Amino acid sequence: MAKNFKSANALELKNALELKNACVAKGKKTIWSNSTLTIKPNEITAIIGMNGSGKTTLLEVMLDIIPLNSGEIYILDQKPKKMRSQIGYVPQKYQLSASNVIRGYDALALGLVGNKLGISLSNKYIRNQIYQLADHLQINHLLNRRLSEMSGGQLQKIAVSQALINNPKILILDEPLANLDIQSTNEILTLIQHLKNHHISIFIVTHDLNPVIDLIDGAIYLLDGHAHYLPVKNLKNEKLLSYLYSTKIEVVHTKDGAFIRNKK
Amino acid sequence: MNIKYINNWINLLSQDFIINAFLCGAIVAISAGIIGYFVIIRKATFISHALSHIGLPGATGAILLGLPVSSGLFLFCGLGAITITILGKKITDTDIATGSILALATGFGLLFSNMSSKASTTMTSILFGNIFTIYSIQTILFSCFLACLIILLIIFFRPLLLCSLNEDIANARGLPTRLYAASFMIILSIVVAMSIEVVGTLLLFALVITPAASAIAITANPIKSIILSCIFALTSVWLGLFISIIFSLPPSFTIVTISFIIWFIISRLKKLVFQDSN
Ligand SMILES: Nc1ncnc2c1ncn2[C@@H]1O[C@H](COP(=O)(O)OP(=O)(O)OP(=O)(O)O)[C@@H](O)[C@H]1O
Ligand SMILES: [Mg+2]
Repeated sequence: MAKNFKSANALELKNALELKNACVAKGKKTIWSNSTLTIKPNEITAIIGMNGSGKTTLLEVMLDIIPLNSGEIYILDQKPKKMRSQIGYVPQKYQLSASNVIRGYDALALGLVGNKLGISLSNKYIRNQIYQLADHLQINHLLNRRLSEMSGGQLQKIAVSQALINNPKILILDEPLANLDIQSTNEILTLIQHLKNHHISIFIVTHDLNPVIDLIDGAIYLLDGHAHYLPVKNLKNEKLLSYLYSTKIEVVHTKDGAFIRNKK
Repeated sequence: MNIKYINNWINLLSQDFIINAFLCGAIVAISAGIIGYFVIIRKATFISHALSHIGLPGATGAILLGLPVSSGLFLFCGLGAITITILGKKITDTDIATGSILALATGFGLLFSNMSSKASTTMTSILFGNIFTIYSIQTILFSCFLACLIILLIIFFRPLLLCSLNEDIANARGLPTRLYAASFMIILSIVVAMSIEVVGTLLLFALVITPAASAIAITANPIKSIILSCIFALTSVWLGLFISIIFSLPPSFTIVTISFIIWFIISRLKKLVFQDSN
């Protein structure tokens, strides 16, 4: 984590994400188009939108898994392909791939060296990095446990740690709170909150804005086939949210923060 | 039943074809032990099973054309692997494609074996294997293959493991996941064809999958799993061969039985330990 500290100043000049007139299609189907937005670094950004609106697709573009049809995209002012090693990614279906064949330790080791040729998962460097991060995130007790024997929340912590172990400058989480109970949700949120002070830009795809609304700095919302951005204060707008979720929504402010709910 | 104890089995052990069986058996066992681990973690057990059936028409067809059985076997397993890779886009949704090819292949195997009387006798040895008929030239070729396999494993183990366990993350890290999947299928098809010569199409599961499953039940450390998987496969083949010689039993039967017993004991023990610790 200390490593990121040095680059903090340099980061201030950059945008975490920049879209210029971006369009993306899968097959012949245009998923979203004509989208222009910029996200400042070291912020937490939610990505919201209806099912099938193209949230995962946006992440795939950021990760250079699929190309833009037209327009431009920059991650920290660079083409996505160059930034791969700077991005930590937790896919939407992580839980499905969690099997009994590896332990938490191995998942982290793969996060660290899974893209590098070679056979060792336990040399001194790998072990040091893993134990250091595990201490930091308090997941030591999960290192020797099989992924199949973890709860949803524990697994999600491993998934996030696996994405963080390379000290990425960008962290991308696809639905990290899906299928979690309140306690696990809070644990993951605490983890994310904790990262906020570590010079890392975080993108969280979520279908439910409430758990993250006091955490985020803004949100990219996918609406009517375009990606838009709003800072969080403008986002707490009943008209917009009602339109976005196609149902009447009200924003309630309490002393513990804001939340949104269906209007009766 | 005529299980009989062979008195002069010690003499038998020094026969060339027996020594060759032990050597070749060991090479095939280690190859199967390695690849079996990846078959399980890639959830490709059904595919490996199907590949073994696809070899059948290759073998019977080769006899029909007067070619060596092995050539047809390897050719069809390889073609089957390529077809399955092309038809199914992702490793997880290939089951329908695989099953369809499997049925077609078995049908052709039957057709070819009906067309020639010699082919139908070979049919039994393809279905159940015959380790004593392996040529020493095959042993040499197989050991070259194993050497390559081990070298590839040492170089590509970590990315292959990541591709196998989590394709999404592997893609995000820029790994060519489809290339890895295709290469894996080709190597798998070779190991399957090799294993068919030892235990046959129908019993292949016990040599390729069962040892790896036993290993994974014991440890979740990937490298230890692979080593254990090889040890279990090797034990099954050698002990199986030994017993089959002493008691004049079909080797495929004894090999498969040992493999099953290892798996059975381990899964029982694991249940016991698990209940105790709770
Ligand atoms: N290979 C494909 N060809 C054509 N369309 C596709 C393909 N894959 C996905 N789509 C479509 O792309 C759209 C966007 O998919 P995406 O996975 O990005 O949605 P999402 O916002 O992440 O949805 P969810 O909330 O369900 O995760 C969907 O409408 C989907 O039907
Ligand atoms: Mg999605």
